[in-house]
Amino acid sequence: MITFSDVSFTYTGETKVLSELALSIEEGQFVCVLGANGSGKSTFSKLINALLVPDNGTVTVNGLETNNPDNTFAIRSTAGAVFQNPDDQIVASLVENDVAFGPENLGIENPELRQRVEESLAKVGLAGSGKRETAALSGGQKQRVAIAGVLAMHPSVLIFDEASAMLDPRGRRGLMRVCKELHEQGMTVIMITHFMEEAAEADRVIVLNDGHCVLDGTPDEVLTQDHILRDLNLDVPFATHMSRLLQDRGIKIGTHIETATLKEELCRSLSNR
Amino acid sequence: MSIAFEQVSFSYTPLTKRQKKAGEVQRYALRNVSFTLNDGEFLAIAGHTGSGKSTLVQHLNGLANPTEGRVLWNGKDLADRKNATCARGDIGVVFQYPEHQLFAETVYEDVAFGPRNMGLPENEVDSRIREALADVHLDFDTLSERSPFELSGGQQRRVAFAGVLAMRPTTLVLDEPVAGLDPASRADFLDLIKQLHEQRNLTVVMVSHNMNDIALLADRMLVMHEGEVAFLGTPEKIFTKHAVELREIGLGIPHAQTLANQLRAEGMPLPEKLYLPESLADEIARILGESEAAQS
Amino acid sequence: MNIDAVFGRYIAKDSAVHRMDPRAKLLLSILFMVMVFAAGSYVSLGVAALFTAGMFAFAHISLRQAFTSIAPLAILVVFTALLNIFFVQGGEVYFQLWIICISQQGLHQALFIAIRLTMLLLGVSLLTLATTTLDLTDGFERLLEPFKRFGLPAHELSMMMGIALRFLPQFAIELRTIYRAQISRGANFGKGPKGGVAMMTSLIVPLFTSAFRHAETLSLGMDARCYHGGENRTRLKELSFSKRDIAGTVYLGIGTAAVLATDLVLNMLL
Repeated sequence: MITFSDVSFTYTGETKVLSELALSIEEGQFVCVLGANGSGKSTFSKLINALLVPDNGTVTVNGLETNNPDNTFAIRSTAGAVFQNPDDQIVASLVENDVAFGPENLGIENPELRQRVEESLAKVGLAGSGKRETAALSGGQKQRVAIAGVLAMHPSVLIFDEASAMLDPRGRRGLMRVCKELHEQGMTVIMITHFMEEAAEADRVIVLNDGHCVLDGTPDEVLTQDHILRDLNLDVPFATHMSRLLQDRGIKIGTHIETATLKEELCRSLSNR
Repeated sequence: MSIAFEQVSFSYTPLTKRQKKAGEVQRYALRNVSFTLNDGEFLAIAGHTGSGKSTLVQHLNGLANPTEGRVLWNGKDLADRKNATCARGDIGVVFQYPEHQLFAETVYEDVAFGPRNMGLPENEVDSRIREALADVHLDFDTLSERSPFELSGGQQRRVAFAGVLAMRPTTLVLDEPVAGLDPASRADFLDLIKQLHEQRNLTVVMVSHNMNDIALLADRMLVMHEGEVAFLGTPEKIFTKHAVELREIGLGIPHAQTLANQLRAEGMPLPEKLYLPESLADEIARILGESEAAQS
Repeated sequence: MNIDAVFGRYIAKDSAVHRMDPRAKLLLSILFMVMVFAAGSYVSLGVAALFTAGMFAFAHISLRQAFTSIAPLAILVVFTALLNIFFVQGGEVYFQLWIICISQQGLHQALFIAIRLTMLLLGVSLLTLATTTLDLTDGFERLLEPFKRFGLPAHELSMMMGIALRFLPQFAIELRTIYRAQISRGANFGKGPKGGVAMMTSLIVPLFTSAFRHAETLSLGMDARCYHGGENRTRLKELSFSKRDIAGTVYLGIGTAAVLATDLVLNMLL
């Protein structure tokens, strides 16, 4: 679906942000990308949908190279992005007009256009909100409008570039729910985040540092590497941290990434004794 | 220096007498809020967006005045303009994303804004800037003449923070001080707040929706819900006694506390108290260790 | 936060005025101005006021909401009135001190212009109160379309206008937050001329940096959604004139005629 072959990128006058990054993402995967500020994770996301093009190497989306300007719009409608600040990606004052912005740019005509708007709003749980004012929505609702705006372009990949960072816990949970639903319907999801609870729910976790991929695997493989994560200035999931604390105290227990499984093992060892 | 809320209610659109007569219902952003901020304590305020916590913060230094009730600062009513102006040197407020309020050409000038507004002599202003920058762990010599806009996000926030500290407040009000920071800067910043509270003996009011941070730092917490005080008490009391209600409000409780409550429900003999990861690990190790010893 | 007090913030209602074609509303605003300027006496100004009130009734927007929306511009009205009081002389002199002289003509002119200006502001605010920014800019773009062949960037202009309008309430909120923050740092707006400059900088610089920050990410978001100017762009809502637009034109036409007739009759009588 998405392939990075030896991709390097440097912003003018700065040090290399990505160097010879090579990885590919399969169709239908839910991938979380972790990394401290300056690790290159944001650049990574912008390279996918041709907001940036690599200095060296190639990025392909669905077989289309991002270097070729003729592919730009095909790629951007295939891989849609939702960004961090809800206030900065809403262009219109009414919800339906905002959702229509993408397909309008693609030249989609009515009645299909209208239908896409309604469908996308329904998918993010905002059916019937088309006539509401965007300014009156909560942060979480705005982000869902932004998702609907991307869905209306009928993408097969969704990129969340720290889309939950400015939301409160309730908004964050709502966003995650929408994300998982879309993934279950077959969407490829790439989520750039700081939140370990979100990473724990992915199929695959990639950790970037200094423009290199340092860890890549299932959440169980990656998130249990607490020493590496800490060295990279990243959080460690609570369950992993707790497992380590218990192991340090001589309790024989596996390293968990989710509180539920940690609890189950603790209960088992209590009743076994 | 104490701040007392006496049955404070606030409405952004207070009804006129005529509307009241017509039977229109007053909509409140705050309703009947009463509490006293004690000298030297660390009070956390939790609540969702729209729960009234930001409105409450504006009442702490007279930026907003109650529609009903009073806010007293050392016994003086903050609705009085003069009292509010005096109080603002004493109660420092750091708003959400404070780096977005930086404006001066140099870090030095920006931090000087507050002390100069207080009418302090230049040598005093200078020494306060040095002290405030040191407090937030920024190097005076390398940074004071730089433009604040060239700095990293975390550094900018520290500068904004120093700008408030330079007024030497005795009470520090922080509205979601670590919002939008990455994990490493978050931890640094929380440490910094803890240091200021402990070493400078500052009274701290921190608005946050991170229950783990609250459990770690706060002496007392106040939970706002739909403009009213839902709970007020020690984190220990609230997290052990009101876990269910907190979840219903959608705030949740700290990770360690969640695990402790679940384990207790499954029959593990854990005492009801506030847990941080370390203390919970100690307790579990003790229980599992004892049963192991009993078995052998 | 009381965000109603932002000039011309859209109020969602399902009224005849809301459903009019934005192009018609833009053109009728001009006719409205003609009507107000045509009024040459207090009586005809009263007639125009009646028609203005009627417009708000058709739009299901109360006069209270209307006045709240223009409240931030009250200063403009007061300033214009003061200029007239001080600079227009004639008739009986009520008050004189050094170069300040308040005369009957001055007071009359000030009152007349204040009423006229208020009415103009009300009418123009109705345009934005009852039209979404997107409709408005869409209408604007299509009215300008014929000029495209002379190189006028109609689409770009309307896009810029739309985004400016969309961000207006946002900036009002941000300005308030910045104001509160600087007040909390002891800022005293309007304390001496030198102090005043520093105070204003402390508001304006953060507001500008915020505007740049928004602009940068907004353009990124628009790129990501395949924005590439007005070419081959479709629209969710196609515009079409309807009977309502004709009714609106007739209404304001009658209004203008009534205003002119009133003055004509008054002139003949006096």
